[in-house]
Amino acid sequence: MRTRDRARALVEHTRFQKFIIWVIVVNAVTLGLETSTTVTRNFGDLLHVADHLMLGIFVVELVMRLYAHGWRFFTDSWNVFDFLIVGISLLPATGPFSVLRALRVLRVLRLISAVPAMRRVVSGLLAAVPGMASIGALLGLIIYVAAVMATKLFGPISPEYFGDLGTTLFTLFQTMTGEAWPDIAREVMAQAPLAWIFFVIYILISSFAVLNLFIAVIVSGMEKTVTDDLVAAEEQHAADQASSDQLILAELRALRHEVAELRSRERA
Amino acid sequence: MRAKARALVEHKGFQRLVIVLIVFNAVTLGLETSQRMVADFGGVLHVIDRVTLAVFVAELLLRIYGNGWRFFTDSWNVFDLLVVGVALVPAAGPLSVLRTLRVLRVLRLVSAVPSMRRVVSGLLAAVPGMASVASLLALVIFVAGVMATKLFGAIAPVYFGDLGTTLFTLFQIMTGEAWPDIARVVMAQAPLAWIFFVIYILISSFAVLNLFIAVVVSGMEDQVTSDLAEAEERNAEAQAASDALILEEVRALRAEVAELRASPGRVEEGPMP
Repeated sequence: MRTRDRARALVEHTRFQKFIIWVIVVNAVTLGLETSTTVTRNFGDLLHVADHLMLGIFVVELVMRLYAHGWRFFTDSWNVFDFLIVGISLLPATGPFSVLRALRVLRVLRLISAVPAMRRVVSGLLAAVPGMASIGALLGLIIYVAAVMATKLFGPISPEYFGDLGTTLFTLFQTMTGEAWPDIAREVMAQAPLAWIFFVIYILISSFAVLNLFIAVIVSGMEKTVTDDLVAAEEQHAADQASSDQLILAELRALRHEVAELRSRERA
Repeated sequence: MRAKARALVEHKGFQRLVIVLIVFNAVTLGLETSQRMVADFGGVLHVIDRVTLAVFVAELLLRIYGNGWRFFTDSWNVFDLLVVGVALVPAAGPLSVLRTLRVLRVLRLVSAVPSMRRVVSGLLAAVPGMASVASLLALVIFVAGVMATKLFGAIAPVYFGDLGTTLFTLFQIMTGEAWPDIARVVMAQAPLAWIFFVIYILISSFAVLNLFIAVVVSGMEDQVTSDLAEAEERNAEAQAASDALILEEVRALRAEVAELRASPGRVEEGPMP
């Protein structure tokens, strides 16, 4: 039990946390250097050793935090985030999993969980997500319906863009971002002149939905900051009001007591 | 002597003269970009440029002399010093790019005109609110850059050859310009690359959107909140005043009753028995 407390004191020490932040930053630099072929050729082994060393530090830190907090470690989603990111680096990245080697750089994102200010920013950004969820789901539904329709209608005309459902979904995502959609539309319209109906309606609906997504985020961001300030002021005034009401009430009670006494004496 | 110099540089007429000179210099610098003008009046333009620069240097020296070391405490003064100083660095050889930077002198209009100063100060005030989101965005782009260089470097070296190229490509994708061209080139060989592109576009545009929101909210907050807080404050004050009135009234009433109890009681108790 005592070693557990000691471990917790260590991992929560400011110096230790600062050290971890430094390791993350240095690791970001070495991972960046690894993308250069000349650097890899000359210092590849050194970078490899450094990378493994830093991964070792992260694993030790994570194990210590796990030991210090026990199962409660997993109740904090930031801890789970760290656990997953470090865990990805430990998976054997051979054969079909070689893409995991590229995911090692996700370790740099630990900077978010390690720096409190960044944590706050991300929590703030994520707080806007629930407000977006319903419109996001609607947008997903619209794109799916449009994709099934477009694959059936335009699949034979331009298989490059609408060959199968996956390709169509990608093309419709592209059309939604507004990037080079006329090229696609003109190609289809060369053979199906009425295809403009589909494209125009799809673009109107999807951009309207995207606009509403933006608005949801803006409103939620706005609401939070502006309302918080006002609520604080309102609460302060309510407290003042309550104390002055208390004074008046006490005075009224004393008055009533006085009147009651007066009446009882009069009766006597 | 020093006070006299300060009085001169702070004189309205003097400041107006400097503004006129800046505008005039802006026009001559604009004319210098025309080849025909340089061929015909190159010598005159050069002389005018030198003379205006000399006036700016003299003005700056006067201001430094007038204010002493305190000159450097105002960041606008430092701005003026840097902008004018660029023109004094010899612009030969590798430093020839500095010749182009001479036009920055026109930006002295910002520091010379008070209303422009206020606008720029207002814009800069929104920066701290953006800093945290901007650093997050930089982090996301860096991580995506390392990942994309590793994954797609061999497939499309034009776009993802090294980290610098990749970062530029990702900046382009973030602005949304011609991203499908890049994505389709990569996807021709790595069909699953759409996962990277879609996720990157969603996250980066969400972060950029939040950058905008940070600015809008910080601008809005000052406006809306101060208005509402003022109204709230006024209401609370009115409420407090009326409460004080009620309290006073009740206290007076109670005093009256207390007196009533004291005096008629005695009167009643007196003659009754």
